[in-house]
Amino acid sequence: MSPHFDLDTVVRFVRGDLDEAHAIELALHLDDCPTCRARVAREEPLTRWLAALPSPETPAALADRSLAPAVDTPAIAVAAVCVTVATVAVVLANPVPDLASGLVVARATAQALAGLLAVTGTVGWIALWAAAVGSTLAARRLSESP
Amino acid sequence: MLTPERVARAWASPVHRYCRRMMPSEAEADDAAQEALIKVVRHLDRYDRTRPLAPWVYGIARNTCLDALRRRTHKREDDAVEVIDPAPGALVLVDEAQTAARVRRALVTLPDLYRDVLVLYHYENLKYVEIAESLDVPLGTVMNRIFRARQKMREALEVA
Ligand SMILES: [Zn+2]
Repeated sequence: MSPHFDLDTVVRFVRGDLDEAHAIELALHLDDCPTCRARVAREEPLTRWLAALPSPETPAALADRSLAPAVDTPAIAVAAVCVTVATVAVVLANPVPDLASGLVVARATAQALAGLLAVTGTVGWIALWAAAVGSTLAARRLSESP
Repeated sequence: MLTPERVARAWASPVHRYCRRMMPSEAEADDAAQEALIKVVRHLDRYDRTRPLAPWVYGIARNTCLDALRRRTHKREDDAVEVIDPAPGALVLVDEAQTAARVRRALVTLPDLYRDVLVLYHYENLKYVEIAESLDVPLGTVMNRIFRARQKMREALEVA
């Protein structure tokens, strides 16, 4: 074992984050050891320079953005197609006589799916509501045609 | 309990700080930090809970930064820190902002390998063993790299 203090200990000493017992031990050793005194003198300026770099400010939304659920685009696409197909099917099966119930079914289907897939986040909501509105309009047009 | 929420809150600052030291510009650091923290949160189930957390998190941050640095097709000189150099070898800490700028520029010029250990050791206060664990290299390699990194920094800053 080397009788001198290692770089890590010297740097921590210079930085002031060596625990008290070790700091006292090193300080006492420095009185008698030119080698370690030279080492402290060598490491001190750079340590001071490095400490001059201020800590950067963390962007406020960093943690929140990393916690936002992943947007599952394929799931949204599949859901949108399902809603549209279901609506068209309902309207085709029951074109003119019962327009009102066709619309109710279409909207209910879309809303149920939107609710189920709300876990996909904001984009999921927007996409599913767009699908709901779109399918409702499609239902209206289909049922208006003779 | 190690929940994604807790980990994200606790590690946002250290990850960002590390990325800021590793990346040449603030914008690139912000992007890297965001990408790294997302990986940390999403891959939390892959973390071996019998091991310390810090080396694992910094490992992800390191890989994210190194990937981003590799993706840079051209050096963005306009991002370089503007520094008016005081007399070479000047030990006087001229002006706080100028000093910080010089340190930042010296850090950026350091090879990634050395910048990484220096940042982990000096700014993230990691112990040699934690850095060794994070890099999956022997302790002696870490000691050697820190020694060399300090030497290179001294040369770049022309101090002592
Ligand atoms: Zn000694």
